Amino acid sequence: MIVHLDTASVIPVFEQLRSQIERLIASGQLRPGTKLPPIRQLASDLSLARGTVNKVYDALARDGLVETAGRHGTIVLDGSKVTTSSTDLAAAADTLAVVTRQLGLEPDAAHQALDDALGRL
Amino acid sequence: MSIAILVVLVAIGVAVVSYVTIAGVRVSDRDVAWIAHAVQPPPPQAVVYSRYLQRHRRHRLAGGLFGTIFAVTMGIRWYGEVHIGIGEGNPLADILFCAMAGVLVGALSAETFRLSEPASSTIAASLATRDDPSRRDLTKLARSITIMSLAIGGLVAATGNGTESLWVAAAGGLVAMVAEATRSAISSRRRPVLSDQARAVDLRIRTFANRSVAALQLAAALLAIGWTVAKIPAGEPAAIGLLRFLFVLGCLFATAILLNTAAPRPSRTWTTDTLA
Repeated sequence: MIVHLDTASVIPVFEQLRSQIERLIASGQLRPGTKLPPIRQLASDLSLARGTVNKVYDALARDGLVETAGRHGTIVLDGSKVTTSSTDLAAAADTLAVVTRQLGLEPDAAHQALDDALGRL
Repeated sequence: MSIAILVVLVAIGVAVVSYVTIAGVRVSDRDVAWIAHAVQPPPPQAVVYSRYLQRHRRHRLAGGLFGTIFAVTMGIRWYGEVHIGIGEGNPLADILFCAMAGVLVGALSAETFRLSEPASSTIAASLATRDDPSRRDLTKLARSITIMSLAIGGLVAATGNGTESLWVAAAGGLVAMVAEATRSAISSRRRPVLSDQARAVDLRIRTFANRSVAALQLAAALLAIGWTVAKIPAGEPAAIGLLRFLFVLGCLFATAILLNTAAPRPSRTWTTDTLA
């Protein structure tokens, strides 16, 4: 259950973090009842402002994916109703396909790059 | 005293301090086994532990020596006497109090030391819950004692018995703030993500740092409340005086134990057999 942020990306880090946690909940990797790390801890691990992580947790709570239980931290709720995983994967695959074509590479190179990326996680 | 004798005494003093400094920061295999909680950790991990311990010892020693020099200077220049332990005089001339404050500043400096990381735009973090090695029990006790000494100092000042106790308690509060900053530096340090070995090393180092700083904070709080109580103007019945003496003695005794707990080295009796 590792999240990766790219500070050079055009996508704001808030959105990167929110969407990654949402996907982990939707896929069941973060099970209902799991406690998310405290805001302070996650903010220091990701070198982010606490306000940014707080905003992410608030957004997830508004979407009904987590529940903030005061001093007991932030708890994951049932995310089975969220169905973003397949569309996210398709969109990412489209991006990879476009980049591969634009660079004039063979499909094997794309497959190899994907395997390497999965191996690094 | 002739100049020649003075020069010889200074030379001996410098030699002793240099020896203690060099011998004190050297890290042995036994020290590494103690902090790693493993008889023979893999060489890359042993190097990390060794550097961490060496840095801690060097910074703490420098802080402690600075505190000692500060106390001696203050004592000779402004108070006309230097003490070790609670009693008459001023805590700023107390070698124990100032050296401990210096050690805490040294620990803060060691914990906030950072190696520069390779430039990268990607950052990873784990969402898994981690073990929390902080010693909340000791920290809560230290905070309560600091607040109590401030309350005692405030009460003594409010009843028109002088502000000395309050100033002493405030000095204790200042040292407590350094300890809180050190704890914050330990807990806000980034945690490793991808390597299990790095996670294990990080946990061992955090466990040591939390225990050590919590013990130092509690020791400083006890010294401060001891000084605060000692500075309450006399004039009470003999029984109360005896109680006060016993209280101060208890504070000094507990401080000695806590300083031993906080040391960045194993006790003399510790052996690797205890890890089996």
